[in-house]
Amino acid sequence: MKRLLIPIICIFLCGCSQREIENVATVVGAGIDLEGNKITLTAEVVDTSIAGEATGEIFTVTDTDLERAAGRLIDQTGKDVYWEHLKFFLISEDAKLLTTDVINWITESGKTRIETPIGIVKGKVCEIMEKGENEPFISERIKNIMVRAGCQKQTYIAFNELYESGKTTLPLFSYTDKPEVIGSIEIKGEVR
Amino acid sequence: MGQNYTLKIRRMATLPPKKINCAVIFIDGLASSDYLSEFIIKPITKASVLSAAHLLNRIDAAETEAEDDFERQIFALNSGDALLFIEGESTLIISAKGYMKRTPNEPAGEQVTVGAHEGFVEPIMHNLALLRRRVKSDRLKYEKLLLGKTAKSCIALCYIDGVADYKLIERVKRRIDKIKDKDIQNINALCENIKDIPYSVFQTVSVTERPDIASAKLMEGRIAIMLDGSAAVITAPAVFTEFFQTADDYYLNFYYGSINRVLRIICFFLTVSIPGIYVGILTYHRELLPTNLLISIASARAGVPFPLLLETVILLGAFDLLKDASAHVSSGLGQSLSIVGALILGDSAVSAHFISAPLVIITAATGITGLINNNIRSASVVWRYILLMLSAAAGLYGYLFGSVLMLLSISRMESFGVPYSMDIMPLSLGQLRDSIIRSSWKKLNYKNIFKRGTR
Repeated sequence: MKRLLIPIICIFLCGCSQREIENVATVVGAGIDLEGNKITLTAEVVDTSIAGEATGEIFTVTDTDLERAAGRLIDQTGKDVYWEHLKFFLISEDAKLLTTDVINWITESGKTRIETPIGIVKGKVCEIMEKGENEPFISERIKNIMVRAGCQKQTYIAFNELYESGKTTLPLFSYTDKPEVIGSIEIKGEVR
Repeated sequence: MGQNYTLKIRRMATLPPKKINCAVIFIDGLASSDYLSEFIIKPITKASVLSAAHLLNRIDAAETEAEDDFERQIFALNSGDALLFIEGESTLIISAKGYMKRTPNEPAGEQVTVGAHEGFVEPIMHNLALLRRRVKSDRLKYEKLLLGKTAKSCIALCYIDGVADYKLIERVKRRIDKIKDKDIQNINALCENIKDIPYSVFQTVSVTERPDIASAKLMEGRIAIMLDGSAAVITAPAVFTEFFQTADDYYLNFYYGSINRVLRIICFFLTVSIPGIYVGILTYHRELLPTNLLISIASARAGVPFPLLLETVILLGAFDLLKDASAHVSSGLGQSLSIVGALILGDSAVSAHFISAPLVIITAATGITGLINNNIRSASVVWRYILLMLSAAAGLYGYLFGSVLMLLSISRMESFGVPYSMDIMPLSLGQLRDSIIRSSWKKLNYKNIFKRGTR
């Protein structure tokens, strides 16, 4: 019994801090706008406060850079934020200079998949991600539209192009009644 | 034997010219009094002989044995035989067993759709006869051993001479010899006393109540151990895949049998893994779930007061409790049990947000896959909880660690000198014919697979 006790104690003392699945804020869609020199991060978070009825809740936070804005999301939701199920990352045309920051953040932080589609959109992200009535999640729809219209690029492809040649092109699309690609934007920058 | 009112003594004497006094002693209920009065008492009281030696020829019993040792006489008396005392002669033990026995019904746990529908019964002599009827060879040997100081249980070692390895027979005898002073009353006590690793959750001997399975295993070079008073028979050595085989695999089409065997093996790994994987993924690896599944599980869990691990343990425990209760209550109460199980556990607890609905599905899947493997139930229950604890502590890493530990413990075990996993590791086509799958009878033959592996 004494020999068994040590492994049993080891098992119960190990493991990291566990958050129950309903007590974390899972981000399913996100995007950024630039106003002046402040970033506005818009994120749709799964809200499970009502049992059996999961809906998306839109949070908007403003800060000086993406890292800080993502950190402030924790203060806003009051929960640990999980980015693992991020469906897309939208960048508004005004904020196109921040594209390399977004790519760096996605690939570096390890919080989300490097396959996450990114796209540059005309207009304001916070207006696009406004949820209609009777629609539990908006992110599913936006992601499907992005994939269908071909107006996205997976992050790691953009990262590789930036890493090898220092530039990449991302499609610019308008998110209106008829979403379509209206051009492309060349991004230059350094990735880490 | 003073305080024993079942002991009956019948005194009598022969007719003139020479009056010889005799007495028959037997135990009421064990020996057949009809048999004794017809074939022993009647011939003696009607005989007129000149000497006691002549009287012996008049006795019509089929089996008699002269015995002067008092201990053995008492043992025979307690085994259901009668003692015949004749003036001036040795005491005779007359086989007159007439105790109650049930008909050899099909055992409830090992039923088949077609094939033999008989099972072992409690008296050992009938069981030996059931075996002999299937293997009509003089090479089928029975060795009788007595166990214990008080109960003196009779056990029989059965093997086919020339087929079973002599080293194996010696090994089994040595193991039994070690416990010869121990009183053993049931087959599981014998199992636990002679098995290789006493504290392992895996059985390293297999137990059957079917004579057809026992005789087939004897033909394959195994040894059967019977215990008087028990309808189950131990066969050894046992290999891991044996616990996934049923008699029906051999009696029905081999494709069907093979599919069922593969299914049972998969189900064993499922029943030990499902709760552990569920808890591990939901606690540490949420990115592995599809988003829609994650959302539906999260919303189902909202409002549940328990942590995931505690909730899982509670529900698994409740299922094990129901299973245990339904196995032991009388059949009349079974209906109310299923109402309690299905309605209270399945429905009300979910709608009261006491437990979450996905976990009910997980428990049901664990339960169904666990019920398929009846023979290996104890091992699957224990390993299910071990893997659950490990994955609750360290996620899928802990689960993998635990399952590797389980596979290692299976592969290092031995059953009477034979590797426990010898027919699957190393994998060979010849061995595969009757292990994970069951190939056609055209390819199968009763052959000793242990000769190669015995150490």
